[in-house]
Order: sequence, then C-alpha cells, then structure tokens
Amino acid sequence: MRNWFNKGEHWIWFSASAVSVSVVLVFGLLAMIAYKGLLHFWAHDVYVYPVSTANGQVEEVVGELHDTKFKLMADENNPKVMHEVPEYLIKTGNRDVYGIDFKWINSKNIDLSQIKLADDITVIERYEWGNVYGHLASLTLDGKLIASGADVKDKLQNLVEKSNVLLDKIHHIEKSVMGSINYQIEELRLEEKKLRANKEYHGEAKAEVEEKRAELSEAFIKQQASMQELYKQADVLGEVVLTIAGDQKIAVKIRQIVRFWQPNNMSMLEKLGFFFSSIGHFLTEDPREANTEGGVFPAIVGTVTMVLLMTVLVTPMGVLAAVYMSEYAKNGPVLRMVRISINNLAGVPSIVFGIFGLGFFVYILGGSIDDLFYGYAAPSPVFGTPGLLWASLTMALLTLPVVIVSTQEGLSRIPRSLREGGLALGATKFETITRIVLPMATPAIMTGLILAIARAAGEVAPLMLVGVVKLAPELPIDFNAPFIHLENKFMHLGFHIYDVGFQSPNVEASQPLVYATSLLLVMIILSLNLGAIMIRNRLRERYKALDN
Amino acid sequence: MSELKKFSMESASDKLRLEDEKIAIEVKDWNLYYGTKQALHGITMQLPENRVTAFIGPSGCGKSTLLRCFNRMNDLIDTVSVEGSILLHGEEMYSKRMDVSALRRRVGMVFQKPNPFPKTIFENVCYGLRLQGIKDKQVLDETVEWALRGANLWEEVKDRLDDNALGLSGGQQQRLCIARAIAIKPEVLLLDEPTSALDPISTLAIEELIFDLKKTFTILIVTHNMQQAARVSDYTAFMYMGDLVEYTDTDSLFTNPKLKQTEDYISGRYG
Ligand SMILES: Nc1ncnc2c1ncn2[C@@H]1O[C@H](COP(=O)(O)OP(=O)(O)OP(=O)(O)O)[C@@H](O)[C@H]1O
Ligand SMILES: [Mg+2]
Repeated sequence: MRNWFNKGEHWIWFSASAVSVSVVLVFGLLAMIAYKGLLHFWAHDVYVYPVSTANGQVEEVVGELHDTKFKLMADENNPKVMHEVPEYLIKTGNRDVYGIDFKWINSKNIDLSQIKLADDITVIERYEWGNVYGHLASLTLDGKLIASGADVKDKLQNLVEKSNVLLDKIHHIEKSVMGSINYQIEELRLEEKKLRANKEYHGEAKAEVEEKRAELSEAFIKQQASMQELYKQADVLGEVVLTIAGDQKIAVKIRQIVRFWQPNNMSMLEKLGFFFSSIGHFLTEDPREANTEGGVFPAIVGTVTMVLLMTVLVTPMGVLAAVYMSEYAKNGPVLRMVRISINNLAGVPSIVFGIFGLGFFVYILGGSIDDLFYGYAAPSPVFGTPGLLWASLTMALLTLPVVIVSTQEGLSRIPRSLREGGLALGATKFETITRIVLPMATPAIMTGLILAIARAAGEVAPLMLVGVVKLAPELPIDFNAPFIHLENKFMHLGFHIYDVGFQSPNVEASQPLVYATSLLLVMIILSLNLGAIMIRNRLRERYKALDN
Repeated sequence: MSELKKFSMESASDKLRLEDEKIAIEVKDWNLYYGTKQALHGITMQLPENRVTAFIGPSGCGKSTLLRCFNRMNDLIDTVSVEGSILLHGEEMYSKRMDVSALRRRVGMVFQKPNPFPKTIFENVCYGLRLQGIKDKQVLDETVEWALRGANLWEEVKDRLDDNALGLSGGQQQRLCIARAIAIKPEVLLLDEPTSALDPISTLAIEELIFDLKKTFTILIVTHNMQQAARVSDYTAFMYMGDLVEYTDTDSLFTNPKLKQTEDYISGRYG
C-alpha cells in the first residue's frame, strides 16, 4: 500500500477520475439537450384523460403528455403526512377555444386506468393560434358542404398541398420580388434625399428619379395584384371543420394550415418521416407566433454571418498585432504592459465589450459615418444604430486576445534557423516574415480562430446591445447588391433561446423549442469548429516535418 | 619513391603564398562585443579570392561569431556591438550606406544545421531569385538545375522537384541549402560546420563539392575536423579565445606550425 502511494499511483487515479467526470458531464449535457430538443420533432401520441371535476362530473381532456411534476400534498385523513402526487402537463392546443394551450391535471382527479389513446385524432398545425386537436368532421366552402365522413382526410391532404404551393408562391413574391422592389424604392428615396440636400433635385436628375419611381411603383402594383389573386385562390380552398371535446366545433381555413397528421394512426416509419420533415421545417422556416413556433432560419443565417464576419475582422487585427509585438517591438516595460493588458482583456466580462461597442462603434463611429456619408438620410440613422457590422466588430474585439496570444505562440515556435536562412539569402525582415514565418504560423493562427469562433458563437449578452434583435424583417445577406448588408439588424440563435425561453408569453409551449434551438446552436458551433480544425490539420500536414 | 619525391617537390615549388593572392575580404582590427563581453579581439586578416579558407579552434573561440560578421548576421542580435572595419572588395561592409540585403546576396551562408524552408525543393532553390523579383520560368528552371547540379544533388532530386524539401535526408537537405545559397551566385560562400550533422558519405560529397565550388566562389569554412580542414582548405586560420592565433597556408600550418599553441591543438592535445 505504501509502495502504491510512493509510486504516485493515486495521482493517476485522481486525474483519471477527474477526466471521466468531465467527460460524463459533457456527454450528459449534450445527451440531455439532444433528447429534449429532438423530442420536439416527434409525433407524440394523443390521449384522452377523463378528469373528474369538482361537481362530480367527468370532463374529457384530449392532448399530448408534455411533462410530469410531483407536488407535495397533505394526506386527506392525516394532514401531518405528506404525499408526492404526480401532476401532468397536457398540451391540449385549440388556443382559440380554450384560451391556453396547456392544462395541468392532478392525478388524484383521474382514474389512471381510464386513460386511452384518442381514436383517429387529427392534429393540425396552423400558421396562427397554434395546434388544433380534434376529429375531422367535414370540409366546407362558403358554408356549403364539400365533403364529410371518410372522404375528408384525403381531400384535406389534397387541399393542403395546393394551399402550400400557393403560399410558397405568395411567399416568394413577398420576400424576393417585392422585397427587391422595396429595396430599390428605398434606394431611390435616399438618392432623392441626397439630390435634394445638394440642391440638385431638378431638371434631368429629377425626371430620371421620377421615371424610375413610376416604373418601380408600377411593378410593385402589378406584383401586389398577382399576390391578391393568389390569396383569393387560397381563400376559395375552403375550410375544414373539426369536432373537439364536448362536441364543440372548430373551423380552420385551409390556407391557415401548415400541415396535419394523425399521430395515433401512424406507423413507426411514418413517425420517423414526420420527425425528419419537422426538423426540415425547423431549419428552413421563419419563426411564427412571437418566435414560439415555426423555424429558426433567420437566426441560423444571422449567427453564421456574424461569426464569419467576425473571423474576417479579427484575423488581420490579431495577426498584425501579434507580428508587431513579437517581431518588431523592442522588449521592455512598454511591451510587458501591453502583454499584460491583452491577457487581462480576455478576462473582461463580455457585457462590458457590448457597452463599449454601443458607445464607441455605434454612437461615435457609426454616428460619424452617418454624418459624413449619409447626411441626406437624417434623421433616420444608417450606421449610427446597432447592426451586423458593429456586432461583428465588438465580437472581434472580444476575441482579439485569443487570436493574438495563439499567433504569438506560433511565431515564437518558428525556429530561428529558418529566419536566418531567409535573411542570409538577402530577404529583408519584412520579406522573411511574410514569406516564411507567417505561412508557417498559420496552424497556430487557426487555433486562435477556433477558440475565437467557439467564444463568439456562444456569446449573447454583448450582442443584445449592438445589433441582435428578436425579429429581424430582413436577412443580413440576400440577393440585392451588395448582398451583405452590414447595417442590418439580425437574429441570433443564442438570443433566440433567451427570447423564446424566457420572454415569450407562452413559456410552457416553447420549452421544447428552447432545447431544440440550443442543440442547433451547439451543432453549429461544433461544425464551424470542425471546419476550422480540418483546415488547420491540412496546414499542419504541410509543415509537419518541422516539429523535429 | 621517386614519384613521391617529385610530387612533394612540386607542391613545394607552387606553395601558396598569401602575398600572391587577390584579396576578397580584408579584416582590420576587428573587435566584437556581446554586451560587455568581448568575443573577438582585434582580428586582422586577408581572405583570398577563389580559395578555401578554413577556421579552426576550440569550441567557443569565436569562429562562428567571426564568420557571421562577414554577412552581418550578427546585426540580428541586439546586444552585439562592433569596432574596426571589414572590406569586401575594398568596400566597407559596416558603413551606414551599405544595403544589408544586397550584401547578403553577395555573401551567401550555409548553416551548421540544414534549414530548408517548408516548401518544395524547387521553391527552396529559387527562393533567393524570387526575392529579386525574377519570374521568368525559363531563367528559374535553368538556375535551379545549375544550382542543384553545382550542389551535386540534381541526379537525386530531378524527378521530384515538387516534393516538400523536408522529406529529404539530412545530407540532401544540407546540399539543398548549398544549392539555395549558390543559386543567387554570391561572391563569397560562408559555411559554418556544414558537415557536422552528416554521415561520412554525405560529408565526402560535400567536401568534393567545396573543391568544385572554389573555382567560382570564395569559400570560408568553419570546421572542427582537422582532417577536413587539411583536405579541403588552401588557407587555415587557428583561433583561440577570440584571438586569431595563427593564419597561413594549410600545408604550413599543419606540417610546420609556428606556435606551440597551434601545434598542441592540431595534434589533439587540447580542444
Ligand atoms: N548571442 C550570444 N550572446 C552572448 N554571447 C554569445 C552569443 N553567441 C556566442 N556568444 C559567446 O561568444 C563566444 C564565441 O562563440 P561562437 O559561437 O562564435 O563560438 P564557436 O567558435 O563558433 O564555437 P563552436 O565551435 O562551439 O561553434 C562564446 O564564448 C559564446 O559564449
Ligand atoms: Mg560555431
């Protein structure tokens, strides 16, 4: 035993257990998020819960079981004894009828043996007002019956497909075509403002602007008309009527339907298909209902654009600073001070960077840019307001220390003999650095960027101050030149999680979405990092023989 | 027997004498300090053109330091300060007007440890040319071939010029570094223990190479190997503790050293 201690075996055991605890924690966390998040996309079975009410009657609650919690309640006979009584959270949907989507029921009020699957229950996902749970009754158009009974399901399927085709067309016109026209009209408006400010808005210039505007308005009106036409076509698809608990009826317009399914009648394979199509919807659609439903596409685009732009900004800044400090600056107290400051910069809370970004970038820098170049747009700011560029710059600043430190480390690892080899061939110091030293330091620079990306993609607090919004009307990248709109506000997955999970009116409903979005954020950070790591490994391969 | 005698007589008759040589580099009263520590003490010597001059002496005596003075490599060390003058073909190396990069193109250097760049063999050799802005593919191709042939490496690498230079063996890498140095056609070539990291066969290859190269270049070589100095050099300088102790033609120095110190060293009694 003593021998065992002397050999230091216990330290090996200690560190091994520390490592395994960390691994278990990391994987546990990921597994938990993945499980809860992916559950969101599953077609859950719908049950009927017979709930006895206070006046002795039995009321049927139809819905999916969402959560179970245990509540401490006193025993009826002996108030001193406490029991843990399960309570069930049931998603009942039909918000327009019941007022809320969710209902807590206490297990004391139900006979557990009486809970059964709801036969032929249909769930309809709507563009507004959430899900409907009910039994298909009939299809009507303007009050006239089109179909009833067994026909309804197939007909409905048909109609929903038609409506989705129409809605896609409408969406395309609205977002791409009219969006582009709107963008041009806005440009024209600014052009006019500029001309007016320069007192040049007369004669030919004026005529030109007016002609263009007339053209654009005409195009706009034309598009609007074709959209109206499509809306009309969607309207005449009719509505579907469902029976819900207590023989109430709900009518849902076909064009309101995203999709519908009958979970209790689905096979495992169908459920899997539904699962993947749900994930597809989640990844590619815009959010609806104050972000609590629909997809997160704009947030994905926003996050990725911001991170990539940040990378583009932080790389030259960090590399130049590192090269100056380790190759040119004379070692001395000043350099030491700068080093210490940089290291401490890494420890400054991120919100402080946010405040700095808002105060310096947005108000001072952005304000001056507006004064200098966009005076004609006043009083509405262009760059003097939070936006993509400022968010990326703030993040670049936040991650600068990591990039500097790892670049410096990389530079210091390049053997002196190689620099001397370059210099001995008549290269200047600058040539040696750009042609030999820096290319060889790229793997280290990539390491810095990997750390920077990991940090930037997960940061939310500073972004809330400098450009992230709950709902951005436009994407930061689109098909209108110049394709990337640095002044636009944007959505971000991290902020989306916060907003959906803690700011939405319907916190219960959105909880699975929070997990799903978290999972997505982790996946995006992982894949960005994997991409960077792959590039780094290829670079390392090229310079690998150096290590000996 | 008679032949041997004839040979020695012949070699005695055309014995090399410094006074007859054209001088490439002239060192006058040269002092060098690392901070306050003096590493070279008043070195004065003349280095002949198109000859091989060897520097020998015990470790730490300042051979590398002196060699690095000839292409101003010591400028890179912040603490170094120098006094005196070194003339390259009559031109002061350490004058303010001297373009150091241009000087280093005229005085090439090969280091003790091979230091090829992590690039292709081809790019390594034409690195110096590219620095001079030469882009003409034909000129580059020709020069690379010439330099690699000159460094006795062409036959081994001609089929894999686009491979990474780090994949070559140590001896090949060293010859590549020599090719890289001669590709820019310097006037003087400095070799600091070029074979100390190599096996006997590579060493032999490089020694033969030095013999060929001296037709075109003035060569200064630092070595710890007495036999090598005796084999390859025309002149030899013996240094001790930062002083130039004895400097004369190689034959005389090895067969008939004037000072006891030199004799002790070359006969291996210390060092
Ligand atoms: N960068 C430096 N800073 C301070 N002192 C140095 C430096 N380089 C060399 N020296 C000192 O200068 C002296 C001469 O060193 P140098 O490297 O020229 O010796 P050398 O003759 O080449 O030795 P070796 O045969 O071991 O290579 C030594 O005493 C060494 O400690
Ligand atoms: Mg040395």
